[in-house]
Amino acid sequence: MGTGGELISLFDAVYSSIVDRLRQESDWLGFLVTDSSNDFKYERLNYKYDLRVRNEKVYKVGINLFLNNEVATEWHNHRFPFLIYPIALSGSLESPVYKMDWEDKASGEAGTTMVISGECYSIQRCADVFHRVMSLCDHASINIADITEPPVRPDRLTSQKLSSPRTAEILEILRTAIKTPHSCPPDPAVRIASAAALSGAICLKSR
Amino acid sequence: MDWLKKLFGLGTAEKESKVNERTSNEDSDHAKDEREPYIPFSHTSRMKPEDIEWTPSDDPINHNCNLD
Repeated sequence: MGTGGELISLFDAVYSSIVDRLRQESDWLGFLVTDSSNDFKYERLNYKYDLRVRNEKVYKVGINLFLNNEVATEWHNHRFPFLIYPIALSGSLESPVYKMDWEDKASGEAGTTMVISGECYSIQRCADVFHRVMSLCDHASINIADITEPPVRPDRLTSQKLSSPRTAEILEILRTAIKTPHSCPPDPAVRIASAAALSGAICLKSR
Repeated sequence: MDWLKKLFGLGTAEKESKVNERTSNEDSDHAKDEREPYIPFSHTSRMKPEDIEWTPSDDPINHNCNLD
């Protein structure tokens, strides 16, 4: 299993393509996702196409929308290595979108970081690295999951299909948010120092 | 980390400081930095446009990857 930098590098390469694909509403499937452990809900769009790199790696692209979330998630890990590119729907250029506690159960290291609009991060060792987040503002995210290998655990969330009009609304929210000063396309530069700052558990990148 | 900064042309002290302010384990970060340089890229480092393609998903519904 590689580093989180792979996902960030890939995101840099495909960001423009993903933004272009936000216009094709029929290519997205919308769901209301519920975490029954704390009734946390969010809306998600799954892209109907997978991203393949040299026929060796397979990635799935999705969009998440978090509105009126004043609750914190429980501690959890993820089924697949993933990248998150958060986009605040209000606030200033570098708005914090959520506070994130993290713990690397392999090394025992832990910390807290603020996730900032326009700064993506990835967690490659998804079985080991747990986190919990406290949402600070309405926000969306573009996310990429590496689904090349089987998931590290079963799915625990339930999904209910969204209507086509709602799916279209979410895409419009994303298209609008991406155009605003609240977020901007990722810079090709990777902030290496932050990877060390987060002890290798999380790879972070900003403008 | 100098080799990484040269490679990517970034990583100013100011930026590093800004990132570290947002973490709560600053003391351990530096030690980790010295003993285990972080290598950001592997297969994507040589990625070309022709290496990337979009293909119809065989399972667009059942990969609710985020927050799970």
